[in-house]
Amino acid sequence: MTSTEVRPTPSTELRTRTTTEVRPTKRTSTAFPPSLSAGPTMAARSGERRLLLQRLPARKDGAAWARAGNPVGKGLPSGAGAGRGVASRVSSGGSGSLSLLRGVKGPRLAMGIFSVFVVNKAGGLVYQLEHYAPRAETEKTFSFPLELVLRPHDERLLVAFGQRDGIRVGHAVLAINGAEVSGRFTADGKDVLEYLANPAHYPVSIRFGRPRLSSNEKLMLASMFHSLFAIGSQLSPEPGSSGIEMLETDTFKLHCFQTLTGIKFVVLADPRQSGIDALLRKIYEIYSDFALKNPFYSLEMPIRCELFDQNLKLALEVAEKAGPFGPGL
Amino acid sequence: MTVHNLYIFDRNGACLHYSEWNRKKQAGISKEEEYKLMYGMLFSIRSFISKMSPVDMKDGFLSFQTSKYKLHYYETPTGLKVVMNTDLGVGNIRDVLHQIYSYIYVEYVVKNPLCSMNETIQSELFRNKLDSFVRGLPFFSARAG
Amino acid sequence: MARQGSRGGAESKKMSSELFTLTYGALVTQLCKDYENDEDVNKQLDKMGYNIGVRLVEDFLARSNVGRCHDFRETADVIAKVAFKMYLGITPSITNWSPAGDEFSLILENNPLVDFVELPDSHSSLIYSNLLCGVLRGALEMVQMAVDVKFVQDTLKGDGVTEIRMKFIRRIEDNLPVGEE
Repeated sequence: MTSTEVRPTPSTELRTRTTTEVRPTKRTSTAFPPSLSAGPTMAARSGERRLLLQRLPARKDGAAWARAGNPVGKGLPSGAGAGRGVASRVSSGGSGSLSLLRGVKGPRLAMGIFSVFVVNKAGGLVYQLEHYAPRAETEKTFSFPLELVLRPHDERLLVAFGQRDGIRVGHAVLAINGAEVSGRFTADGKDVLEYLANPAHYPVSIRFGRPRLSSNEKLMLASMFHSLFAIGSQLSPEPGSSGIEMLETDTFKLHCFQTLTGIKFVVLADPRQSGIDALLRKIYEIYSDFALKNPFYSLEMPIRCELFDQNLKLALEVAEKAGPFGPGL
Repeated sequence: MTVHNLYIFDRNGACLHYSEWNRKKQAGISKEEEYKLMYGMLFSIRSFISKMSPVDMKDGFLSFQTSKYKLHYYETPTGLKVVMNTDLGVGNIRDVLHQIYSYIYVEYVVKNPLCSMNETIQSELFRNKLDSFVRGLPFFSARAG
Repeated sequence: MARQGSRGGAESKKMSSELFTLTYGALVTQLCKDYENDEDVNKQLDKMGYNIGVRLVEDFLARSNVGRCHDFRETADVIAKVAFKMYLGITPSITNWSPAGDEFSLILENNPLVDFVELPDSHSSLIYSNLLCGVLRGALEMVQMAVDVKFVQDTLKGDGVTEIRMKFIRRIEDNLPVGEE
């Protein structure tokens, strides 16, 4: 793996909503924010909870959800919930992975393992690694009127309708005339929708792509999975069921291994990638070797250990080579 | 192999139908609450995976499994959701869920003008057809007891 | 298997198209008797069509295996080439796209609903086939598309062709909880 590109999050909304600020650090391998020293306040955390609750289904389900929900902030030592800061590290895939890529046949470029999450027993994200993130971005020049329906969603502008030329429904507006947008606003602070409604600004070149997860979203998704895991167990038609161990979609499989102590290791991989169960055990081993045994690591806190990082990346590469992505396929 | 239970939800989250065959454990809450919890979970899973997916999705959520059961999910473009819980031995049954939609729901509910489309399905005919369809599935087996 | 049999049976059912046309005619004339003015009849036809549309779309999806459309051009194609063919046995042509790609026209060379119809002068504002607009609106609403559908030309009114104009209004982001947007 080569050095990782650390990209400052351009969105300002993050900062207004919570104090868990993401600041790219100089270190290339572990890019965690100094959230421990900064120490998100209780208010910030409750802000995050609110964020999660908004996303839950209809309000009437609130009661049921609260019961199964994330217990962060309930009777935890004040530091426990604080371990929820994670850097948004947008890795563009290492050079070591490229050799593997060449072996892949088929229309979709796929790598074995996309990302790894470690979630503490309170549902807080303590580690996240983007191992391989396929980037499909499309730039197109448009004339007025715009043949796309754009819709503001979560501080971004998404394509709601009008899929064409590689621009897909759900893609976000990333840049206008080469200048990156910041959420729903252009680089110089204009509302993108208003800008695009003005015929004088055409022809305009817009770049679209899958929206990247902000660090705030990663925190939210981790605690969301934490709740889903618990509900999956509660709704079991059979007694003695665990939570969600494997979740399958058409584009990825999520594998989750929960230790007896309640730590969850989550791996997102290509649906065709095999050997993930063994990998999850291996990650557990690496965690106990390089995080737990490190006297300077505090339990339930973000993992910022160089050795953990290195060994994890190594394990991922080994697993990918063993999977059905070798040159033979 | 066995089928535990089946939920059908409409686009607004109302549970149109529920039936169970080999279910050993209840959720410990009222049925109404259970439907809401199930729908809430599915709703959140959809939102979760659409954010998590590294590439653009087509069908989206297909199934999940725990140590004891597997939940299979099928959604039509109109938002009807068919959810079947089976044991872990059952593979991909997307076709089966589509058949429940197209041969049973569409035939006996949508085409029955007396059947309202957004409340619990009362039709005895629908229930019977669905029951015999599920019992006839190759992976259905009524275990002893 | 028996279940496949039942589906096959439903598909192979044949019905005289003349009986269908006559039934529709009887329905419209009855509405004309029941309501004072043509506008109310148009409204009723649209409402009935809507109720048919929200059900028919399920049958359509079950039979055609068509997935979700992500572009209005795709929608237009599916409506004209698959849906009209399946239910009315005709394939209207798609024309007159608006520059933004959110409006188009379906041109019906021959509308099976009007086979034997002569519109009397007393019903000059009756939109005889308005049921179709309701069907299209109802069906698309169920797949999260709000559209505006209306007749802009009608052979019954002396126009050369029958033209249905469809305008995309918005995506219906339903099953989002309140306050999500």
